[in-house]
Amino acid sequence: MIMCNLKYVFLSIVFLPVIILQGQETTSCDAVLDQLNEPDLIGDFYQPPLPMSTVGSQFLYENWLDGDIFLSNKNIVKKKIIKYNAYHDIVIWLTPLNHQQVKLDNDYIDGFCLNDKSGVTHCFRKIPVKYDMSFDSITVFGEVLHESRISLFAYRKVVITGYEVDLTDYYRDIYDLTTLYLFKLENGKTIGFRSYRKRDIITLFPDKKEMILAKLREIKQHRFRTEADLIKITKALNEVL
Amino acid sequence: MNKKLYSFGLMTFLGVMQLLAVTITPLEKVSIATDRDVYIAGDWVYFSIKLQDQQNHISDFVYLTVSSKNQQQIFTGCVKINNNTASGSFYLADTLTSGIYQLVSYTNHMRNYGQEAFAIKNILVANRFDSDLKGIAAETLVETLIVDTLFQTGIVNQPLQQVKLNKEFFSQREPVKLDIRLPEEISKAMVSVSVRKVAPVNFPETRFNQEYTSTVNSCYYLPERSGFILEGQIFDRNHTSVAQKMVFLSGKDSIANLQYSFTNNEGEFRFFLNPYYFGKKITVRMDGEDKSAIEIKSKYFNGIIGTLPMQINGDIESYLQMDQKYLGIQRSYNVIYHQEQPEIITAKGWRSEVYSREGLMVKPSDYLYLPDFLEISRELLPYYKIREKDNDFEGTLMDINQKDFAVPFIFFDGILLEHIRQIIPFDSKKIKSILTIPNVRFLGELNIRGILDITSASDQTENLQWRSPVSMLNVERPLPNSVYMMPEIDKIPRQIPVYLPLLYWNSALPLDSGKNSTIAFYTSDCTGTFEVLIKGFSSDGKEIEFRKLFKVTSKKF
Repeated sequence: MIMCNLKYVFLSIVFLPVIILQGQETTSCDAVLDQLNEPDLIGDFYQPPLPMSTVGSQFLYENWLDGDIFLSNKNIVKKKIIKYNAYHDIVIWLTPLNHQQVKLDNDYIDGFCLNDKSGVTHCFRKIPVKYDMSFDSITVFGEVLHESRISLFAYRKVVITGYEVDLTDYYRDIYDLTTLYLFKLENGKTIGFRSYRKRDIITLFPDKKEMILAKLREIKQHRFRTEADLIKITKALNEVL
Repeated sequence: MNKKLYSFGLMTFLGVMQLLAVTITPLEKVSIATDRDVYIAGDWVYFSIKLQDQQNHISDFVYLTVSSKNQQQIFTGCVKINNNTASGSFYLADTLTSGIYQLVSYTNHMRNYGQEAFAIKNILVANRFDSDLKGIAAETLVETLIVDTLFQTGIVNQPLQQVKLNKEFFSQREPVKLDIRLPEEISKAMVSVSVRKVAPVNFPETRFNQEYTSTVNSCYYLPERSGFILEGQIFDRNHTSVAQKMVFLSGKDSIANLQYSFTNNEGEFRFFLNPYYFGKKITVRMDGEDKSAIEIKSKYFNGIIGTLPMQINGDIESYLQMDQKYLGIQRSYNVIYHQEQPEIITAKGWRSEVYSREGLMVKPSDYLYLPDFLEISRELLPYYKIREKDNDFEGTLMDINQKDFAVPFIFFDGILLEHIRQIIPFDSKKIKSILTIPNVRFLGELNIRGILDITSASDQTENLQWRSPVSMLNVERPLPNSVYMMPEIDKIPRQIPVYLPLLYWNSALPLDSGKNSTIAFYTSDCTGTFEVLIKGFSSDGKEIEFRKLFKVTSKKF
């Protein structure tokens, strides 16, 4: 008899929270709203280059990656499958239903973030760059390495470095990745540099040479080899300048 | 036996719990306050709608409808919520019949819970030229109460000691100072303050219920955050809903813009209208040229909730006659104490563009006159070809990448057309510019086989002929904030009468615990008993109501 009563008590304990929970306002409309409010991405049909026609890749990352896109109308479109073509400086979107490749309008995008397979997020923003021999600056997507008063960007551009002729006399372009680093100052001006050399970086800020050297000595930053070193230096510059 | 009894008891208990379980507490509630309870047709009604959203930011817009006793809508409007308050005003037309009118307010999300969730406020309106006012009392009297002329209420279960006037008796055109202080136990509050002549009526109000029984999907009517939700339904000729039908929405503009959606199994579709669309003319149409009907759903509640009880506690007829006189005098001096303050919308307003890059632009005015679009396309649009086929026209655009022809999307003043035949009659004078995008475009998943974006020299959208049903509507603009402008009475010469039944109105006064809020105003030439009425919510959701009376006489104090 006691066991039987215990069974009912047990049933009561199990069912009561379930029933009470049923009455709570648990439905959030946010997911439906977000889907409804999200602007549609716009662009042209994209025909990818044939893999056999090139040596190397036009893409910064060969795989499709999850990413968020920052639109010029200040909206953010989240969790889209995208690729960055670093040769043409364009973002390619893979439509989820029809699997079409869409070359997104550059004017429509302010930036984007790519989440690579290792869990690292690479964010790109539009920055003005004076590239090569051109007198006018162009706007390109630069990877944000450090963002502060003085920000550090990396403009990763795929360029054709030559061509290869195969046995059937077929010309194949050879693509290679180049990187131009840029400091973006508070006034929006950008200063570009290609080398990691300490002297080259310091000459970008001739007025503050001594202060920068003192700061680098203070933080014991003597090595200038990797992007991580450049980021440390940018942080130091932000403290000094 | 015991076992059976226990089992019965348990089942009963579970049954009761099940009943309790479907009781849903909505995430937001509203209440309405008006500057007065009694108006003369020709007056402005100032209202303040307070949103109690239990710390959640759910809705940005609240709706208001005003209906007469016989369910005739006399006003509808949408108001933007700022700091949990939406305020505005509406004009009572001179032609309104005397009687009780009902204000109903709710958010789109609250429509999920039915009328029980709506806030209501009843007001009495007398026509300015109605000489026989006995009918109002006879027709609407539900209950007659004899109430002391001087009465006081306060915060629920709190004595009223927090509202202080510098005097209790004032003469005409005398300055009044009012101090409001929140009780210690309330940290913050947002209230509306009205100082008005005491009317001999009382409306037992239904503000909101604390809980509603509901089993509906609470996201059927979505919360409206930084924009409106447009809802509609598509029916075929047999009035059966059409599922999985593509629906387009475009707004009249100088550039092509488009949103698209699909109907669900019930034939329903939804669009989000961000502030870009406010006040814009939009068209909603289906893909193709079939004869299904489009029904855009109205968000405005039509009807009356409950009965319209009014308690009369004095001579309502003389009161209304006096108010009629006051309004007549103020009208003859052409003085209106009303000012609208259009709100600068800070919310994101973006156009759903179809292209954001340059296309091939042609301006027909730069060339010789061409009598119709057929000639214009032949002479000026190298990629677009129109052919006459079966007493109709067929227009195709060449895709310069794919080197094939397809039917493009044609926009006219931003609006997506159904067919090229709609603009064939337009000549060079009527068309300002034509932009061609001769390649495949994508708008989300939508594959657009090229674009013709045409702008007219003068508005021609009204002259477009449609074969399939299209819904054209103007998206409303949220009501502007409006303030009651209290005149500087001390500067008005004595010989000019200033009869004001409303001395002060503030739709949203923030109050902080321990801090005095001081309000200053003047009495007018109106004499009698006046009341200060303070209504609102505390930061923790408690309802607040203060009432304080004072008298204005013709004597000098």
